[in-house]
Amino acid sequence: MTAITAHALTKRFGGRDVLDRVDLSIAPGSIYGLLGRNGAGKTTLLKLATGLLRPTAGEVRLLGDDPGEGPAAAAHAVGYVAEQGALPGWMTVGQVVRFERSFRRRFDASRVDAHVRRSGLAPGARIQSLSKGQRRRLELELALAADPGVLLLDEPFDGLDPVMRAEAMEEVVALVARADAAVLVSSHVMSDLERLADRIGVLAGGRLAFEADLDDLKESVSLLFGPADASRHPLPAAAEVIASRTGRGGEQIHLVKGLGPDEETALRGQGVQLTRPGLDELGLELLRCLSPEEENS
Amino acid sequence: MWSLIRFEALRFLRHPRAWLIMVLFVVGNSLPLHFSDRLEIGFVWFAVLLHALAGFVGAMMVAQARTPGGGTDVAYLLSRTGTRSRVLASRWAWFVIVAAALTAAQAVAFGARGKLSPHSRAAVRWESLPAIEAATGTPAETEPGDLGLYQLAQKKGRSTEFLRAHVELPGAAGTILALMFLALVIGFALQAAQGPATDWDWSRMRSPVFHATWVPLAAGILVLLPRTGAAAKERVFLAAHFHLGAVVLAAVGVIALYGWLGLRQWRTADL
Repeated sequence: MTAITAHALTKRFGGRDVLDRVDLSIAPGSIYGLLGRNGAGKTTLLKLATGLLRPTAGEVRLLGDDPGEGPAAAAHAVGYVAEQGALPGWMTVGQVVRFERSFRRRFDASRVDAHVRRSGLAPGARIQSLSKGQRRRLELELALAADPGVLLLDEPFDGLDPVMRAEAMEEVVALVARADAAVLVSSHVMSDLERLADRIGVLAGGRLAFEADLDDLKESVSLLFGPADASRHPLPAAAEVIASRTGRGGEQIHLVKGLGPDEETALRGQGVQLTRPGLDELGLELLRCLSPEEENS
Repeated sequence: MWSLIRFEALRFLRHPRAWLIMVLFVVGNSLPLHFSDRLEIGFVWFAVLLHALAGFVGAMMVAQARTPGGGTDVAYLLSRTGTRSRVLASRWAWFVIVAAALTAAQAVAFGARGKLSPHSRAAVRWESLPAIEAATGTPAETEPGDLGLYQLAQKKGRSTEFLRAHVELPGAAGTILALMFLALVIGFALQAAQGPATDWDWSRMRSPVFHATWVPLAAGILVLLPRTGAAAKERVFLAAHFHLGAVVLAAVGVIALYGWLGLRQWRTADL
């Protein structure tokens, strides 16, 4: 059984499709990274998955149930870290811990208590008095302590210092290894996803424009900078163009999958500039190619 | 469910403006009922309407609370605890507890002034005595001083509109408390029927439910208008008193209707 499934999932706000017929399937024990520019629909997708938003069309299922109206048992098995933080500011750290413990069957309070002590948080401190990083780290810790079968993370590392960031990522990976959890994590930053995800998807214009296994991407994608007239340098038949765009100087930029060493050498011989991009550069190019206008939309 | 109700209690108490307004509405508009040793029936409808407003405004102020990141308490609850129906059910349970507590406080105040006694007296218009006698089957015993004033006014041809007879009206305080309790719950129900979205948005004006939530309050204000007449208000109260079961049923119907509208709103609303 898949842990997270979306089928033709559509969400419309004010006549505009923020998500448009998205299909997604995430198996237990895997981490799916969602990449996209501002306004691409990442938060909308995650809110639909938690049941905070209701779909305009299509459906989403977590562990087989409709989030938001499914049986309460499903809610026990889902952890969620919201982009803007969800913990009520008027609650104290201690109240939040006690409250969440009362709802989670497998909640490991000692783990959260240890985090609270380690971070120097006072149990009587109000959530609104914590820094952004402390709030996010606490929220993530609460989600992890519930030992969820599904973890939904919306920009979870935003605002964390490098140490907190590294620890948080390690704990997410440990959860997946230990509990066979499925994780859907959104980010603007490819390097975050590189350390976590098995598979990534790029949301652009409300559609899931691209999906691939991360290992596959790392090993087989080349970045080509060619002259404006692409017909002068036809790509080999085995090569698959993932995405293309026109650079500022009019040059054609392609992300190409499946080029062998011989083919790369031949293309270089024709004057085509070709590199094997790092994941950060790859992520950046994917976003540039697939959603050039997102931020203005 | 208890944890959810406890959460509702915590968030309510964390908003002193909300519960202070409720307490002020409830206690303030009931003071005329508490001042004298007798029940002043003329003030009942004012108190009942303000109880409904207290429930509505108090619930609305708590519902508008936001998290530091801009989310709502409902969004937090839903992402942590389960289904929308359960979240709404816990909110309803807390509303009823608050209404019961406020009504109990009023009952204590009534009891301290002896109004819960079966022999407690209520101030009614002289024209209402036949209706009371017909309903109770016994002659109404008025106080000699009241009767003297009434007879004097009649003899001199003066208006008796502002004269009251103080008669035993067993259970009248109970009727008033029941009406107050139901008004509070109706106020809560009207607010809940607007759904979990608390931000103002002009598109809400397009929702028939949004307008429907004001209908009972508007009806209450119409009843309170001077042109409805004091005699009519008193007749309605006496009818409610002698047919309390029917009034409770009607109020439960209103609560159920708005509860159902609220459930529909909650099930489909974006958070």
